[in-house]
Amino acid sequence: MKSYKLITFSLFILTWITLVEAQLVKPIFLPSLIDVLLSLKSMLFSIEGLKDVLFTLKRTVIGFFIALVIAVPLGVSLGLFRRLYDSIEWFIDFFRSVPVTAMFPLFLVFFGFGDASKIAMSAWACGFILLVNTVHGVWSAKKNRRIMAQTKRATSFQILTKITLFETLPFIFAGMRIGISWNLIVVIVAEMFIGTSHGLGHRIYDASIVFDTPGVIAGIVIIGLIGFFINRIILKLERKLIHWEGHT
Amino acid sequence: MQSVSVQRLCKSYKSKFVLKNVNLDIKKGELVVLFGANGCGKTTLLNIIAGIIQEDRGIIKIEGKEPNKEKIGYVFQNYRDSLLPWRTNLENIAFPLELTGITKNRRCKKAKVLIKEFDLPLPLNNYPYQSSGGEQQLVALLREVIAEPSLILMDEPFSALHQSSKEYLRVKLQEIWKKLGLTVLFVSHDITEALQLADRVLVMSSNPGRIVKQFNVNFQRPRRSKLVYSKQFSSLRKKILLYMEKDVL
Repeated sequence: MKSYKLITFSLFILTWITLVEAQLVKPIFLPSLIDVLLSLKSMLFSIEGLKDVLFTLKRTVIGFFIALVIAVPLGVSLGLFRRLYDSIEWFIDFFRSVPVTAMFPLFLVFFGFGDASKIAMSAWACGFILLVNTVHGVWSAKKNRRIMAQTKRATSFQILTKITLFETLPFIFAGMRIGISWNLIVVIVAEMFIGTSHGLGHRIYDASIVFDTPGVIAGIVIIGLIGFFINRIILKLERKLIHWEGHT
Repeated sequence: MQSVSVQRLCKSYKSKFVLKNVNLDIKKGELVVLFGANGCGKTTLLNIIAGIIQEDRGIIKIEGKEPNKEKIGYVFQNYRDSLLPWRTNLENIAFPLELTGITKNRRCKKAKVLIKEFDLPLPLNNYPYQSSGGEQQLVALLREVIAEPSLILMDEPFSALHQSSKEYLRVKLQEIWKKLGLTVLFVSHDITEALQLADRVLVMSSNPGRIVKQFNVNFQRPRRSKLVYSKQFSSLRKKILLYMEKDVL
């Protein structure tokens, strides 16, 4: 960790300890760091706790990949066929403006109370972000590159696979990073309110009912870490695959 | 033998003529410079010849065929937007061969032979963004040359480069053009560049754009930068500029 990051992290921890030790905040609002660490330990070193983490992770990742597999090819097609996009723009703009949480009941009707509805909701939330980003990626492709290929009598398929898709990649990755965060949010909220036997949302909700604030914060820390590391993985992949971004 | 023939070409946007009755002939192996002020329709003319824009009226033939039936090279002013930054310089140069289905080994070999033939110090395994502006434009030029096109269109390709890179590339272009017998239509608004490169300079007027005069340029080749200081060069330069001032602008 770089020194300035270490300083801000230390300051954050120090502020927390000071607030608790000076009794400036009641423990129900802000428990001690030790209590939170103990809760974290019991969560990560118990079968039930690990199951919660893995279930949340599974729903998030599956939802993300479903969104990716549907939204990216659809986005490329819509980007290429402007009229098609124009004809369904109202649908995209309408449904991406509606919070997926407002559609909980509909998802329950269609997919039931099990994992399917939670995964479908997360895929829905992430899918629109990926879709819009992909469409704009296709539109942002440099005209000169297409002209260059056209003058060499490249086929439309060659232009798509050798130029347009590469030009769209930075936009897809930006969408992936925003989308995965939304995925996680929707999965957690769904776990809290739809009901499930396992999941971090469910664990946080249960802890809050019995005023177990260390348990709530431990859950939040785990969620934050999951989001942080998934984002890091995508960022690493992005830097490796789209090495030219920022240089052109 | 005529390589390019354009007759009575017209193009308008919103009922305003951008090009009106443009006539142009280029012989095989000739380097012709289209010279004119900014916005006179030079790029539109190139795009129509390349088959990218549809003309309203007129006939265009390249090697006797429709433009979209022939392989055409196109070098842009903005090399950054035309090179493929996800490919190395070597892969960029070999790109047109890939489109025709030539195997990777064969196309890389052909690209390397071309580079060696003209003794070009290019960082082949670097990506374009790791190369200088001059190197990138040279990669763009070689990419257009490698597929042996019937015609190469060049739209102010050196105008965004440093003076030293410009000088180097002008000399290299002449060398490549001469040795490979290329047919080139080069657009410029720099009279020095036009006279250094051209067999013929075609002067284009604005509003609407059309070719109003041609000047033959008979200086000995290869034409290097010191040619600019010769009496004949200055005299022809003056003649064209005076014509522009009097009859075109």
